[in-house]
Amino acid sequence: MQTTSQPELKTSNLPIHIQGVSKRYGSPKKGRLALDNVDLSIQPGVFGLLGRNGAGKSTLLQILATLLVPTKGRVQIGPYDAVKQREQVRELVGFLPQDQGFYATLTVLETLRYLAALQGLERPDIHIAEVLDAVNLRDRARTRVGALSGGMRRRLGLAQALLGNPPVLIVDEPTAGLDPVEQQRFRTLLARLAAQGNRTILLSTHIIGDVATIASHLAVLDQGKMLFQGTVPALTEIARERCWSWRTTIARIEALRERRELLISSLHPITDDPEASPDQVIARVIGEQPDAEAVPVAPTLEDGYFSLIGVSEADSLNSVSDRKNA
Amino acid sequence: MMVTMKSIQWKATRRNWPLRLFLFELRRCISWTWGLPPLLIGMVFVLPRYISLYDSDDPLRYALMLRYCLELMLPFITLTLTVPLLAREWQEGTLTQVALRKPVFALLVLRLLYVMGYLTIWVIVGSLIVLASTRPHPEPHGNSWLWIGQNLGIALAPSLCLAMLAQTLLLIPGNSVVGYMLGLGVWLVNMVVAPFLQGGNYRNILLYLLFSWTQRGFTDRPDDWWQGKWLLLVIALLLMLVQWKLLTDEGRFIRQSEE
Repeated sequence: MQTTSQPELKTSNLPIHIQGVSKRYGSPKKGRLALDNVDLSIQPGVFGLLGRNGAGKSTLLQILATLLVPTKGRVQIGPYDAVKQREQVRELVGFLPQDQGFYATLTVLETLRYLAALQGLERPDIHIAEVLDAVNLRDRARTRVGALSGGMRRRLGLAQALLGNPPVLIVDEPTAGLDPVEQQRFRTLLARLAAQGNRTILLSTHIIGDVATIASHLAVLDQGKMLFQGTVPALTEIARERCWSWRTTIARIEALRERRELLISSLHPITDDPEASPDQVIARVIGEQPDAEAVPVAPTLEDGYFSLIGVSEADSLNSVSDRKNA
Repeated sequence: MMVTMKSIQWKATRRNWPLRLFLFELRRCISWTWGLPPLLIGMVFVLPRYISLYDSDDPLRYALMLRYCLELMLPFITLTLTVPLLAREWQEGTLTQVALRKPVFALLVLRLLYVMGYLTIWVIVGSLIVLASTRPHPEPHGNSWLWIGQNLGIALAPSLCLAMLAQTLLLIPGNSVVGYMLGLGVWLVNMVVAPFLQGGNYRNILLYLLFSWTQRGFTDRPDDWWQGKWLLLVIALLLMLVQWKLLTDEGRFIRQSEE
């Protein structure tokens, strides 16, 4: 392939620049717009991409991995254009898709050997030993993939993405469906890879804990639009002075929720007060102070995220009603 | 958890086609169906004893039976060898990982070359065995290479065409059952339609169907049976272009579990 004529990159720390990217599935008029004019700049380190199911995260990641071509806009990874210089970009990027398939009858070692051969890696056994150590699967090297647990499969997925030491790692929902212990193990693994390798790791997830624990910067996608990009504390700050702990009843919460006057971040039953009625709860709410009894609390990243997404919902509702009025 | 990545700095890796990839791919192609071609060649020497289509004392009976078997049965066998070439990747969702490392079309062509190379070997082996056991020479001028070359055309052109047709059709929905069913359907249609065309005004169409050598005697131009073989090869090539187009759309390989 074309790499021999290209300058050999000797450094990691490759940024990713996304300018005005849109992606429409289907026909230009009736097709579904999955991404709408997205701008994003990603610097080395762990970058979180948050969003609900269907927000467009996977589409964006697949564009970055060069599997999809954007309908509009430009994606640059390091010095290369992701559309025009697809082969060069593929040498820079390791990709762990959300729904990673494996050859179930092959062993872990055979799987990696085959993928390394496809990749044309020189000294594949050294690469394979490194990635197996990195994901802590060396003792499972001769286990058939079909016999691995879900967490081990995800780690094998990460191992294949790490083959060839790519400076950019794209992981799509890596902890979805894993138990809490495996989730934490995976987060730690990603954090260490980022710290030791000066890599750019783009982590797409709808699990806020993934981002809160390892990412320094993040972006929030919703309905194909970029709602936010910045640091983790900056997103948390969105909910500053808008986050309340409120002892109330389920009925009042439901009434306010139906009127969309506040966002409920969490609800907890009252267990330490024997006089509390069964329908009383401690609600963590985001918005204006719902009641004089509600007390302010320090916001978390989750509060900031809910606050942002909630604003977005309110905006879209307003715009719908504006259009109806017009 | 241990993270011991030795060389953290990335450097450009050469994406070549190492020998071990060819060996991996060869291993991935081989299945029990690879036993069918030698079985077919074996049947050439057994069937004349049980089928009374020909004079059992005809000295050319094995030569004729070889061509009948190759033309009628090898396309069907080829289906069983070629339809699964990408089936495992489709089923197990590994096409994205393959596509990110090598063009899937290139791998398909490589695997197809293995299959067609294997079939070629058996056609040649079968022809050589028949030549060794047949007197007089089955080719009127005694040209063995011409006779073997004709056998290759008779066997491989319809086989390749049917394989390409099935492969193309299965790539559209990504389902190997569709490939089998439609490939088998086209093979059956050719078998069923031939008797209806034999006595009619359109009998020369038989020269352009899958089994033109077998049906040549029912046409006005029996010596032109090879024209249909070239046509089948051209169709196979065109279908390959369609496959190339289908396989370069890598977005189709992604399992959409979220969006």
